[in-house]
Amino acid sequence: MTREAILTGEQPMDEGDRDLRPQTIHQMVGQRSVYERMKIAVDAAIKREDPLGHILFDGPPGLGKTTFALCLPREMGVNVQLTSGAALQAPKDLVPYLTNADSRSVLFIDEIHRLPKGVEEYLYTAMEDFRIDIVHGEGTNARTLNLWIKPFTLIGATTRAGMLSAPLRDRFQIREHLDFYTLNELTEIVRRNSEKLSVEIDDAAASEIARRSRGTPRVANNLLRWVRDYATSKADGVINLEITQAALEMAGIDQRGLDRQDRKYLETLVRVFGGGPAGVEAIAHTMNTATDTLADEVEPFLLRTEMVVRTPRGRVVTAKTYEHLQITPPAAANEGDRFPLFSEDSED
Amino acid sequence: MTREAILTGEQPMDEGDRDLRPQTIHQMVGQRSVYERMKIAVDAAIKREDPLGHILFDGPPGLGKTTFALCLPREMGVNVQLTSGAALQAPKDLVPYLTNADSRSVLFIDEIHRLPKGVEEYLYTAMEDFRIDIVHGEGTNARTLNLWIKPFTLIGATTRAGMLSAPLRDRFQIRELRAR
Repeated sequence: MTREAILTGEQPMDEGDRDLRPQTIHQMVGQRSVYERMKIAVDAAIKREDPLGHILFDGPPGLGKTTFALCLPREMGVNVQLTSGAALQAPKDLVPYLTNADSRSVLFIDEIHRLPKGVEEYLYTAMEDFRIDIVHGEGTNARTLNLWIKPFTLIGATTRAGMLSAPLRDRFQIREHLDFYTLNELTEIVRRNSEKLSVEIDDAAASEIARRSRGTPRVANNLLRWVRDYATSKADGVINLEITQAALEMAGIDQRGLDRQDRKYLETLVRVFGGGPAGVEAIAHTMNTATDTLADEVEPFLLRTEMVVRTPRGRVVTAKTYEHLQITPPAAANEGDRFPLFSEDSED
Repeated sequence: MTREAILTGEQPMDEGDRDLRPQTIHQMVGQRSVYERMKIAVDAAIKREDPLGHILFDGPPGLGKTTFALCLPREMGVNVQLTSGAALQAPKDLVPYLTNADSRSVLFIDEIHRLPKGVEEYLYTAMEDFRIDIVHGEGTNARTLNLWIKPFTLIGATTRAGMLSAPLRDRFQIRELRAR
Protein backbone atom coordinates (compact mmCIF):
# COMPACT_ATOMS: atom_id res chain seq x y z
CA MET A 1 0.00 0.00 0.00
CA THR A 2 2.94 2.34 -0.20
CA ARG A 3 2.81 5.30 -2.52
CA GLU A 4 4.75 4.67 -5.68
CA ALA A 5 7.91 6.64 -6.06
CA ILE A 6 7.38 9.71 -8.16
CA LEU A 7 10.96 9.70 -9.36
CA THR A 8 13.19 6.70 -9.12
CA GLY A 9 16.96 6.66 -8.90
CA GLU A 10 17.24 5.91 -12.59
CA GLN A 11 15.97 8.41 -15.09
CA PRO A 12 14.49 7.14 -18.35
CA MET A 13 17.12 8.10 -20.91
CA ASP A 14 14.79 8.78 -23.84
CA GLU A 15 14.17 12.34 -22.86
CA GLY A 16 16.15 13.67 -25.79
CA ASP A 17 16.56 17.40 -25.87
CA ARG A 18 13.59 18.09 -23.69
CA ASP A 19 15.54 18.55 -20.53
CA LEU A 20 18.67 20.63 -20.20
CA ARG A 21 18.85 20.01 -16.47
CA PRO A 22 22.06 18.23 -15.38
CA GLN A 23 21.30 14.71 -14.18
CA THR A 24 24.13 14.33 -11.66
CA ILE A 25 25.95 16.89 -9.57
CA HIS A 26 29.14 16.03 -11.47
CA GLN A 27 27.58 17.49 -14.60
CA MET A 28 26.89 20.75 -12.87
CA VAL A 29 29.00 23.74 -13.82
CA GLY A 30 29.75 26.49 -11.33
CA GLN A 31 28.68 26.81 -7.67
CA ARG A 32 31.93 25.02 -6.85
CA SER A 33 31.92 25.70 -3.11
CA VAL A 34 28.32 24.51 -2.70
CA TYR A 35 29.14 21.49 -4.85
CA GLU A 36 32.15 20.55 -2.71
CA ARG A 37 30.18 20.83 0.52
CA MET A 38 27.28 18.79 -0.90
CA LYS A 39 29.67 16.10 -2.09
CA ILE A 40 31.11 15.77 1.42
CA ALA A 41 27.66 15.61 3.00
CA VAL A 42 26.47 12.99 0.49
CA ASP A 43 29.67 10.96 0.86
CA ALA A 44 29.39 10.91 4.63
CA ALA A 45 25.69 10.00 4.53
CA ILE A 46 26.37 7.11 2.15
CA LYS A 47 29.27 5.80 4.24
CA ARG A 48 27.27 5.97 7.46
CA GLU A 49 24.09 4.78 5.70
CA ASP A 50 22.28 7.66 7.34
CA PRO A 51 19.75 9.90 5.71
CA LEU A 52 21.22 13.16 4.51
CA GLY A 53 20.66 16.12 6.84
CA HIS A 54 17.84 18.48 5.94
CA ILE A 55 18.99 21.04 3.41
CA LEU A 56 17.73 24.53 2.60
CA PHE A 57 18.74 26.17 -0.67
CA ASP A 58 18.12 29.84 -1.13
CA GLY A 59 18.98 32.27 -3.87
CA PRO A 60 17.47 34.08 -6.84
CA PRO A 61 15.38 32.05 -9.33
CA GLY A 62 17.09 29.97 -12.00
CA LEU A 63 20.44 29.34 -10.34
CA GLY A 64 20.04 25.61 -9.77
CA LYS A 65 18.18 25.10 -6.51
CA THR A 66 15.85 22.52 -8.03
CA THR A 67 18.71 20.90 -9.93
CA PHE A 68 20.68 20.37 -6.73
CA ALA A 69 17.56 19.07 -5.01
CA LEU A 70 16.94 16.52 -7.78
CA CYS A 71 20.58 15.50 -8.25
CA LEU A 72 21.36 14.80 -4.61
CA PRO A 73 18.80 11.97 -4.22
CA ARG A 74 20.11 10.46 -7.44
CA GLU A 75 23.61 10.63 -5.99
CA MET A 76 22.36 8.85 -2.87
CA GLY A 77 20.35 6.36 -4.93
CA VAL A 78 17.11 7.18 -3.12
CA ASN A 79 13.67 8.27 -4.23
CA VAL A 80 12.41 11.81 -4.24
CA GLN A 81 8.93 13.28 -3.87
CA LEU A 82 8.27 16.74 -5.26
CA THR A 83 5.83 19.30 -4.02
CA SER A 84 5.60 23.02 -3.61
CA GLY A 85 4.85 25.21 -0.64
CA ALA A 86 1.85 26.82 -2.27
CA ALA A 87 0.16 23.43 -2.69
CA LEU A 88 0.48 22.51 0.97
CA GLN A 89 -2.19 24.74 2.42
CA ALA A 90 -3.24 22.47 5.29
CA PRO A 91 -1.48 19.79 7.33
CA LYS A 92 -3.60 17.12 5.60
CA ASP A 93 -1.90 18.02 2.30
CA LEU A 94 1.48 17.31 3.83
CA VAL A 95 0.70 14.05 5.66
CA PRO A 96 0.64 11.70 2.61
CA TYR A 97 4.10 12.87 1.59
CA LEU A 98 5.48 12.16 5.04
CA THR A 99 3.79 8.81 5.63
CA ASN A 100 4.75 7.56 2.18
CA ALA A 101 8.40 8.58 2.40
CA ASP A 102 10.78 5.64 2.22
CA SER A 103 13.62 5.43 4.66
CA ARG A 104 16.36 7.92 3.65
CA SER A 105 14.26 9.23 0.77
CA VAL A 106 14.01 12.90 -0.07
CA LEU A 107 11.00 15.19 0.13
CA PHE A 108 11.61 18.30 -1.93
CA ILE A 109 9.45 21.34 -1.17
CA ASP A 110 9.86 24.12 -3.70
CA GLU A 111 8.92 27.67 -2.69
CA ILE A 112 8.99 26.57 0.92
CA HIS A 113 8.44 30.14 2.10
CA ARG A 114 4.81 29.82 0.93
CA LEU A 115 3.99 27.22 3.61
CA PRO A 116 1.33 28.42 6.04
CA LYS A 117 2.34 28.57 9.68
CA GLY A 118 0.26 25.54 10.66
CA VAL A 119 1.98 23.33 8.13
CA GLU A 120 5.39 24.64 9.14
CA GLU A 121 4.65 23.51 12.69
CA TYR A 122 3.87 20.00 11.45
CA LEU A 123 7.28 19.92 9.88
CA TYR A 124 9.04 20.73 13.17
CA THR A 125 8.37 17.35 14.76
CA ALA A 126 8.63 15.54 11.44
CA MET A 127 12.08 16.97 10.79
CA GLU A 128 13.45 16.58 14.30
CA ASP A 129 11.91 13.43 15.71
CA PHE A 130 10.45 11.87 12.54
CA ARG A 131 7.08 11.90 14.25
CA ILE A 132 3.79 13.49 13.26
CA ASP A 133 0.90 14.21 15.56
CA ILE A 134 -2.42 13.69 13.83
CA VAL A 135 -5.40 15.19 15.63
CA HIS A 136 -8.69 13.30 15.33
CA GLY A 137 -11.99 14.94 16.12
CA GLU A 138 -12.64 18.36 17.49
CA GLY A 139 -13.03 20.14 20.77
CA THR A 140 -13.26 17.91 23.85
CA ASN A 141 -13.32 14.77 21.74
CA ALA A 142 -10.02 15.53 20.05
CA ARG A 143 -7.44 12.83 20.39
CA THR A 144 -3.87 12.95 19.22
CA LEU A 145 -2.38 10.08 17.32
CA ASN A 146 1.39 9.89 17.25
CA LEU A 147 2.66 8.45 14.02
CA TRP A 148 6.28 7.54 13.55
CA ILE A 149 7.60 8.03 10.07
CA LYS A 150 10.74 6.76 8.42
CA PRO A 151 13.83 8.95 8.65
CA PHE A 152 13.80 11.13 5.56
CA THR A 153 15.56 14.17 4.21
CA LEU A 154 13.72 17.41 3.64
CA ILE A 155 15.14 19.64 0.94
CA GLY A 156 13.63 23.09 0.81
CA ALA A 157 14.16 25.70 -1.88
CA THR A 158 13.23 29.33 -1.51
CA THR A 159 13.93 32.60 -3.21
CA ARG A 160 13.40 34.39 0.07
CA ALA A 161 15.02 32.76 3.08
CA GLY A 162 13.94 35.78 5.11
CA MET A 163 10.27 34.80 4.85
CA LEU A 164 10.85 31.46 6.59
CA SER A 165 10.13 31.43 10.30
CA ALA A 166 13.27 31.16 12.39
CA PRO A 167 12.37 27.80 14.04
CA LEU A 168 11.93 26.17 10.66
CA ARG A 169 15.11 27.70 9.27
CA ASP A 170 17.08 26.48 12.28
CA ARG A 171 15.94 22.90 11.76
CA PHE A 172 17.80 22.67 8.48
CA GLN A 173 21.21 21.22 9.17
CA ILE A 174 22.69 22.52 5.95
CA ARG A 175 21.87 25.92 4.56
CA GLU A 176 23.29 26.89 1.20
CA HIS A 177 23.06 30.16 -0.63
CA LEU A 178 23.44 29.98 -4.40
CA ASP A 179 25.07 32.89 -6.14
CA PHE A 180 25.22 34.17 -9.69
CA TYR A 181 27.45 32.41 -12.24
CA THR A 182 30.57 33.88 -13.85
CA LEU A 183 30.84 34.52 -17.57
CA ASN A 184 33.13 31.51 -18.09
CA GLU A 185 30.80 29.16 -16.26
CA LEU A 186 27.84 30.37 -18.28
CA THR A 187 29.73 29.99 -21.55
CA GLU A 188 30.51 26.41 -20.56
CA ILE A 189 26.83 25.81 -19.76
CA VAL A 190 25.75 27.23 -23.13
CA ARG A 191 28.33 25.07 -24.91
CA ARG A 192 27.23 21.89 -23.13
CA ASN A 193 23.54 22.56 -23.60
CA SER A 194 23.89 23.30 -27.29
CA GLU A 195 25.39 19.81 -27.51
CA LYS A 196 22.33 18.43 -25.72
CA LEU A 197 20.08 20.33 -28.13
CA SER A 198 22.29 19.01 -30.98
CA VAL A 199 22.94 22.40 -32.48
CA GLU A 200 26.28 23.78 -33.63
CA ILE A 201 27.46 26.94 -31.96
CA ASP A 202 30.76 28.80 -32.25
CA ASP A 203 32.69 30.18 -29.27
CA ALA A 204 31.91 33.82 -29.98
CA ALA A 205 28.19 33.12 -30.09
CA ALA A 206 28.33 31.05 -26.89
CA SER A 207 30.04 33.82 -24.97
CA GLU A 208 27.66 36.40 -26.44
CA ILE A 209 24.69 34.44 -25.10
CA ALA A 210 26.47 34.01 -21.77
CA ARG A 211 27.20 37.74 -21.54
CA ARG A 212 23.54 38.60 -21.97
CA SER A 213 22.24 35.98 -19.52
CA ARG A 214 22.65 38.11 -16.40
CA GLY A 215 24.52 35.42 -14.52
CA THR A 216 21.58 33.00 -14.57
CA PRO A 217 21.71 29.59 -16.27
CA ARG A 218 17.95 29.47 -16.76
CA VAL A 219 18.11 32.71 -18.74
CA ALA A 220 21.04 31.34 -20.74
CA ASN A 221 19.04 28.21 -21.60
CA ASN A 222 15.99 30.19 -22.65
CA LEU A 223 18.13 32.47 -24.82
CA LEU A 224 19.87 29.45 -26.33
CA ARG A 225 16.52 27.85 -27.20
CA TRP A 226 15.35 31.06 -28.77
CA VAL A 227 18.55 31.55 -30.80
CA ARG A 228 18.26 27.94 -31.94
CA ASP A 229 14.69 28.56 -33.12
CA TYR A 230 15.86 31.67 -34.93
CA ALA A 231 18.74 29.82 -36.57
CA THR A 232 16.48 26.94 -37.65
CA SER A 233 13.91 29.30 -39.10
CA LYS A 234 16.08 31.97 -40.70
CA ALA A 235 19.38 30.21 -41.40
CA ASP A 236 20.75 26.69 -41.79
CA GLY A 237 20.55 25.90 -38.09
CA VAL A 238 24.16 26.72 -37.21
CA ILE A 239 24.52 29.43 -34.58
CA ASN A 240 27.16 32.08 -35.18
CA LEU A 241 27.74 35.50 -33.68
CA GLU A 242 25.77 37.36 -36.33
CA ILE A 243 22.66 35.19 -35.92
CA THR A 244 22.93 35.39 -32.14
CA GLN A 245 22.99 39.17 -32.17
CA ALA A 246 20.09 39.42 -34.60
CA ALA A 247 18.02 36.89 -32.63
CA LEU A 248 18.65 38.54 -29.28
CA GLU A 249 17.90 41.97 -30.66
CA MET A 250 14.57 40.64 -31.89
CA ALA A 251 13.82 39.13 -28.49
CA GLY A 252 14.49 42.53 -26.95
CA ILE A 253 17.53 41.43 -24.95
CA ASP A 254 20.06 44.24 -24.92
CA GLN A 255 23.85 44.30 -24.43
CA ARG A 256 23.63 44.22 -20.66
CA GLY A 257 21.09 41.38 -20.71
CA LEU A 258 18.12 43.55 -19.76
CA ASP A 259 14.87 42.27 -21.24
CA ARG A 260 11.74 44.19 -22.13
CA GLN A 261 10.36 43.94 -18.62
CA ASP A 262 13.55 45.34 -17.07
CA ARG A 263 13.64 48.23 -19.49
CA LYS A 264 9.97 48.91 -18.89
CA TYR A 265 10.70 49.06 -15.16
CA LEU A 266 13.52 51.55 -15.67
CA GLU A 267 11.53 53.61 -18.14
CA THR A 268 8.56 53.72 -15.79
CA LEU A 269 10.78 54.82 -12.95
CA VAL A 270 12.40 57.54 -15.06
CA ARG A 271 9.38 58.73 -17.03
CA VAL A 272 6.57 58.49 -14.50
CA PHE A 273 8.40 58.94 -11.22
CA GLY A 274 11.10 61.32 -12.47
CA GLY A 275 13.86 58.89 -11.54
CA GLY A 276 12.51 58.15 -8.09
CA PRO A 277 12.39 57.77 -5.20
CA ALA A 278 9.34 55.59 -5.75
CA GLY A 279 7.94 52.65 -3.81
CA VAL A 280 8.02 49.26 -5.49
CA GLU A 281 4.25 48.92 -5.10
CA ALA A 282 3.60 52.17 -6.91
CA ILE A 283 5.87 51.04 -9.74
CA ALA A 284 4.16 47.64 -9.88
CA HIS A 285 0.71 49.21 -10.14
CA THR A 286 1.81 51.58 -12.86
CA MET A 287 3.34 48.70 -14.81
CA ASN A 288 0.28 46.53 -14.17
CA THR A 289 2.41 43.71 -12.77
CA ALA A 290 2.71 42.10 -9.36
CA THR A 291 5.00 43.46 -6.68
CA ASP A 292 6.45 39.98 -6.18
CA THR A 293 7.45 39.74 -9.83
CA LEU A 294 9.39 42.98 -9.58
CA ALA A 295 10.97 42.14 -6.24
CA ASP A 296 11.91 38.56 -7.21
CA GLU A 297 12.77 38.77 -10.89
CA VAL A 298 13.47 42.30 -12.00
CA GLU A 299 15.08 44.13 -9.14
CA PRO A 300 17.83 41.71 -8.00
CA PHE A 301 19.66 42.09 -11.28
CA LEU A 302 19.18 45.87 -11.51
CA LEU A 303 20.39 46.28 -7.94
CA ARG A 304 23.36 44.05 -8.57
CA THR A 305 24.40 46.00 -11.66
CA GLU A 306 23.90 49.26 -9.74
CA MET A 307 21.31 50.64 -12.13
CA VAL A 308 18.83 51.13 -9.31
CA VAL A 309 19.43 51.72 -5.62
CA ARG A 310 17.07 51.04 -2.74
CA THR A 311 16.76 53.89 -0.31
CA PRO A 312 14.47 54.29 2.71
CA ARG A 313 12.27 56.53 0.55
CA GLY A 314 12.03 54.07 -2.34
CA ARG A 315 13.81 53.04 -5.51
CA VAL A 316 16.05 55.58 -7.23
CA VAL A 317 17.74 55.20 -10.60
CA THR A 318 21.46 55.87 -10.90
CA ALA A 319 23.51 57.59 -13.57
CA LYS A 320 24.10 54.19 -15.18
CA THR A 321 20.41 53.92 -16.02
CA TYR A 322 20.34 57.26 -17.81
CA GLU A 323 23.49 56.27 -19.67
CA HIS A 324 22.00 52.91 -20.64
CA LEU A 325 18.62 54.26 -21.73
CA GLN A 326 20.40 57.16 -23.43
CA ILE A 327 18.25 59.72 -21.67
CA THR A 328 19.77 62.91 -20.30
CA PRO A 329 19.15 63.04 -16.57
CA PRO A 330 16.89 65.90 -15.44
CA ALA A 331 18.99 68.82 -14.22
CA ALA A 332 17.36 68.83 -10.81
CA ALA A 333 18.43 65.28 -10.15
CA ASN A 334 22.03 66.41 -9.99
CA GLU A 335 21.37 68.86 -7.20
CA GLY A 336 20.42 66.03 -4.90
CA ASP A 337 17.27 67.59 -3.46
CA ARG A 338 14.44 67.53 -5.94
CA PHE A 339 11.70 68.07 -3.42
CA PRO A 340 12.68 71.10 -1.35
CA LEU A 341 10.85 71.21 1.97
CA PHE A 342 10.13 74.90 1.68
CA SER A 343 8.87 75.66 -1.77
CA GLU A 344 8.75 79.41 -1.06
CA ASP A 345 12.54 79.27 -1.27
CA SER A 346 12.21 78.79 -5.03
CA GLU A 347 11.94 81.63 -7.55
CA ASP A 348 8.24 82.44 -7.09
CA MET B 1 -13.26 6.37 -26.03
CA THR B 2 -11.02 9.29 -26.83
CA ARG B 3 -12.50 12.74 -26.55
CA GLU B 4 -13.21 14.41 -29.83
CA ALA B 5 -10.96 17.29 -30.70
CA ILE B 6 -12.64 20.59 -30.08
CA LEU B 7 -10.91 22.38 -32.91
CA THR B 8 -9.19 20.76 -35.82
CA GLY B 9 -6.55 22.14 -38.16
CA GLU B 10 -9.17 22.91 -40.82
CA GLN B 11 -11.72 25.56 -40.08
CA PRO B 12 -15.31 25.07 -41.22
CA MET B 13 -15.67 27.89 -43.70
CA ASP B 14 -19.35 28.72 -43.06
CA GLU B 15 -18.73 31.09 -40.21
CA GLY B 16 -19.29 34.05 -42.45
CA ASP B 17 -18.87 37.41 -40.84
CA ARG B 18 -19.97 36.26 -37.42
CA ASP B 19 -16.49 36.16 -36.07
CA LEU B 20 -14.24 39.16 -36.28
CA ARG B 21 -11.33 37.19 -34.88
CA PRO B 22 -8.48 36.76 -37.38
CA GLN B 23 -8.19 33.15 -38.49
CA THR B 24 -4.43 33.02 -39.16
CA ILE B 25 -1.58 34.97 -37.69
CA HIS B 26 -1.00 36.53 -41.11
CA GLN B 27 -4.35 38.28 -40.84
CA MET B 28 -3.43 39.83 -37.52
CA VAL B 29 -2.71 43.55 -37.44
CA GLY B 30 -0.28 45.02 -34.93
CA GLN B 31 1.81 43.28 -32.29
CA ARG B 32 4.44 42.96 -35.01
CA SER B 33 7.29 42.01 -32.73
CA VAL B 34 5.28 39.27 -31.04
CA TYR B 35 4.10 38.12 -34.45
CA GLU B 36 7.66 37.89 -35.79
CA ARG B 37 8.87 35.95 -32.76
CA MET B 38 5.92 33.56 -32.90
CA LYS B 39 6.49 32.96 -36.60
CA ILE B 40 10.09 31.99 -35.93
CA ALA B 41 9.16 29.70 -33.06
CA VAL B 42 6.46 28.00 -35.15
CA ASP B 43 8.77 27.69 -38.15
CA ALA B 44 11.50 26.09 -36.08
CA ALA B 45 9.07 23.70 -34.38
CA ILE B 46 7.68 22.59 -37.75
CA LYS B 47 11.14 22.09 -39.23
CA ARG B 48 12.34 20.09 -36.24
CA GLU B 49 8.97 18.32 -35.90
CA ASP B 50 9.05 19.16 -32.21
CA PRO B 51 6.13 20.40 -30.21
CA LEU B 52 6.18 24.16 -29.79
CA GLY B 53 7.62 25.33 -26.45
CA HIS B 54 5.07 26.24 -23.79
CA ILE B 55 3.92 29.82 -24.25
CA LEU B 56 2.54 32.32 -21.76
CA PHE B 57 0.72 35.39 -23.07
CA ASP B 58 0.42 38.15 -20.57
CA GLY B 59 -1.29 41.47 -20.98
CA PRO B 60 -4.43 43.54 -20.48
CA PRO B 61 -7.74 42.12 -21.76
CA GLY B 62 -8.72 42.42 -25.38
CA LEU B 63 -5.33 42.71 -27.03
CA GLY B 64 -5.31 39.37 -28.80
CA LYS B 65 -4.03 36.77 -26.37
CA THR B 66 -6.78 34.32 -27.28
CA THR B 67 -6.43 35.07 -30.99
CA PHE B 68 -2.75 34.22 -30.89
CA ALA B 69 -3.45 31.07 -28.93
CA LEU B 70 -6.01 29.91 -31.49
CA CYS B 71 -4.01 30.89 -34.57
CA LEU B 72 -0.75 29.22 -33.58
CA PRO B 73 -2.13 25.65 -33.58
CA ARG B 74 -3.74 26.33 -36.95
CA GLU B 75 -0.35 27.45 -38.19
CA MET B 76 1.20 24.22 -36.90
CA GLY B 77 -1.66 22.13 -38.26
CA VAL B 78 -2.40 20.54 -34.89
CA ASN B 79 -5.46 20.27 -32.70
CA VAL B 80 -6.26 22.56 -29.83
CA GLN B 81 -8.24 22.03 -26.67
CA LEU B 82 -9.68 25.05 -24.93
CA THR B 83 -10.34 25.48 -21.27
CA SER B 84 -10.15 28.16 -18.65
CA GLY B 85 -8.40 28.35 -15.30
CA ALA B 86 -11.65 28.95 -13.45
CA ALA B 87 -13.10 25.69 -14.86
CA LEU B 88 -10.22 23.60 -13.56
CA GLN B 89 -10.93 23.61 -9.87
CA ALA B 90 -9.50 20.18 -9.09
CA PRO B 91 -6.77 18.05 -10.63
CA LYS B 92 -9.43 15.66 -11.93
CA ASP B 93 -10.76 18.45 -14.16
CA LEU B 94 -7.37 18.82 -15.78
CA VAL B 95 -6.45 15.17 -16.26
CA PRO B 96 -8.79 14.43 -19.22
CA TYR B 97 -7.33 17.31 -21.19
CA LEU B 98 -3.82 16.01 -20.64
CA THR B 99 -4.52 12.35 -21.33
CA ASN B 100 -6.49 13.20 -24.47
CA ALA B 101 -3.87 15.52 -25.93
CA ASP B 102 -2.42 14.30 -29.21
CA SER B 103 1.28 14.46 -29.80
CA ARG B 104 2.31 18.09 -30.49
CA SER B 105 -1.24 19.34 -29.92
CA VAL B 106 -2.02 22.49 -28.00
CA LEU B 107 -3.83 22.87 -24.70
CA PHE B 108 -4.96 26.46 -24.23
CA ILE B 109 -5.78 27.57 -20.70
CA ASP B 110 -7.33 31.01 -20.57
CA GLU B 111 -7.18 32.99 -17.32
CA ILE B 112 -4.48 30.62 -16.14
CA HIS B 113 -3.94 32.65 -12.98
CA ARG B 114 -7.31 31.32 -11.71
CA LEU B 115 -5.89 27.80 -11.40
CA PRO B 116 -5.83 26.58 -7.81
CA LYS B 117 -2.35 25.78 -6.53
CA GLY B 118 -3.05 22.07 -6.41
CA VAL B 119 -3.84 22.04 -10.12
CA GLU B 120 -0.80 24.18 -10.91
CA GLU B 121 1.32 21.53 -9.28
CA TYR B 122 -0.05 18.90 -11.65
CA LEU B 123 1.08 21.02 -14.53
CA TYR B 124 4.71 21.12 -13.33
CA THR B 125 5.46 17.51 -14.17
CA ALA B 126 3.13 17.52 -17.16
CA MET B 127 4.94 20.47 -18.72
CA GLU B 128 8.46 19.40 -17.87
CA ASP B 129 8.48 15.64 -18.17
CA PHE B 130 5.12 14.99 -19.89
CA ARG B 131 4.14 12.87 -16.94
CA ILE B 132 1.21 13.16 -14.57
CA ASP B 133 1.07 11.71 -11.09
CA ILE B 134 -2.46 10.70 -10.22
CA VAL B 135 -3.05 10.34 -6.51
CA HIS B 136 -5.51 7.67 -5.38
CA GLY B 137 -7.09 7.82 -1.99
CA GLU B 138 -6.44 10.29 0.74
CA GLY B 139 -4.26 10.81 3.76
CA THR B 140 -2.12 7.89 4.78
CA ASN B 141 -3.73 5.60 2.18
CA ALA B 142 -2.79 7.78 -0.76
CA ARG B 143 -0.96 6.11 -3.63
CA THR B 144 0.48 7.69 -6.72
CA LEU B 145 0.09 6.40 -10.25
CA ASN B 146 2.50 7.72 -12.87
CA LEU B 147 1.03 8.27 -16.29
CA TRP B 148 3.06 9.28 -19.32
CA ILE B 149 1.36 11.62 -21.73
CA LYS B 150 2.20 12.71 -25.27
CA PRO B 151 4.40 15.77 -25.71
CA PHE B 152 2.06 18.72 -25.99
CA THR B 153 2.22 22.49 -25.93
CA LEU B 154 0.60 24.45 -23.17
CA ILE B 155 -0.47 27.96 -24.07
CA GLY B 156 -1.53 30.04 -21.11
CA ALA B 157 -3.15 33.44 -21.22
CA THR B 158 -3.36 35.70 -18.22
CA THR B 159 -4.08 39.29 -17.44
CA ARG B 160 -2.10 39.02 -14.22
CA ALA B 161 1.13 37.09 -14.60
CA GLY B 162 2.10 38.10 -11.09
CA MET B 163 -0.61 35.85 -9.67
CA LEU B 164 1.00 32.79 -11.21
CA SER B 165 3.33 30.97 -8.85
CA ALA B 166 6.97 31.34 -9.80
CA PRO B 167 7.62 27.62 -10.50
CA LEU B 168 4.76 27.56 -13.02
CA ARG B 169 5.81 30.82 -14.67
CA ASP B 170 9.36 29.54 -15.03
CA ARG B 171 8.22 26.46 -16.89
CA PHE B 172 6.99 28.48 -19.86
CA GLN B 173 9.76 28.61 -22.43
CA ILE B 174 8.29 31.58 -24.27
CA ARG B 175 6.80 34.44 -22.33
CA GLU B 176 5.23 37.28 -24.25
CA LEU B 177 4.52 40.48 -22.45
CA ARG B 178 2.07 42.49 -24.47
CA ALA B 179 2.76 46.17 -24.69
CA ARG B 180 -0.18 48.47 -24.29
